[in-house]
Amino acid sequence: MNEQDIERAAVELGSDVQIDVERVARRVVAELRTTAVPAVWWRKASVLRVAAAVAILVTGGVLVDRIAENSAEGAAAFPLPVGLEELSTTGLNEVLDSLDLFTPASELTPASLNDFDEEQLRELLIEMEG
Amino acid sequence: MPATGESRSDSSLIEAWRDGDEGAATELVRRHAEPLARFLGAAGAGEDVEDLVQETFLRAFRRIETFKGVSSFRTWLMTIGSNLLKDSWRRRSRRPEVSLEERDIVDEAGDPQDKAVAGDTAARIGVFVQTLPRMQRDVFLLRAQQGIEYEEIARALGTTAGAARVHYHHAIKRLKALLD
Repeated sequence: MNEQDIERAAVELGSDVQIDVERVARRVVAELRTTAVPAVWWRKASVLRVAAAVAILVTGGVLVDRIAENSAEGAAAFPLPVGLEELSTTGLNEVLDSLDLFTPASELTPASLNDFDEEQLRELLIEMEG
Repeated sequence: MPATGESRSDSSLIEAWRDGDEGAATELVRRHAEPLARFLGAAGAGEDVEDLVQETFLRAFRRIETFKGVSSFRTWLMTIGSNLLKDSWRRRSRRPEVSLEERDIVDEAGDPQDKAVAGDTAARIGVFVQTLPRMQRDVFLLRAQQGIEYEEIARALGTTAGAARVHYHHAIKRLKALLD
């Protein structure tokens, strides 16, 4: 017996097997109803896609909000130089002038900045630095 | 107009089943149950073949998310069925004994003398196929009985087309030796 004979015979293998296809189908469906795994809503691809999109939007929103919050805080902080003790009276006055905090000066203080001595200016700046 | 069950592709029915369509599952059973039964019967399922077919579909539908479409749905079913058959034999501790007397191949056409010879040969091949190592048996049946290409067999069984050809060659060689 050669290979072709075996292959021809192999085509017929199992041809005597008889099953009731409709009965199998009924039993399979009935059994699946008891578990119904693929029908679970969260397994559906469309639901998963929507859930993923919502998660990305929420996370993105929170991040943007926090970044905006941090930026606002950063802008409100005074960019004061470090080491104020090292500045002269003129230097301290220049810093205060550059901050433009005393305009109009009359609303904040009755005196000109020139009326403050070095110690008072230093204390004022330190207080502002917080 | 929506496609009827018979005209819909397997992938369309699988997608429908994933969405919970029982009619799609029924159609897939109708479409593939008989070839699956023939495959499992030839592999040695015996009297349990209908239960095994049923269990194969149940397992396939419950794990449908693992079907990636690298092989056809039918070929995938056959690999699941083969695994279940192996498990069934393991539970019984051994393969069932098969003999030529237990096989009854009927050929209703042709010369009575040819029928006897053909029936005898087919019966003997049927018995010997069941004695092959599992990989050889599965490759042989998928190729010779089901007519599936080596590339698809390899994808379904997680091997290469070259290795599948080698398994097939060894199966033929062994069957020839047993038949001669």
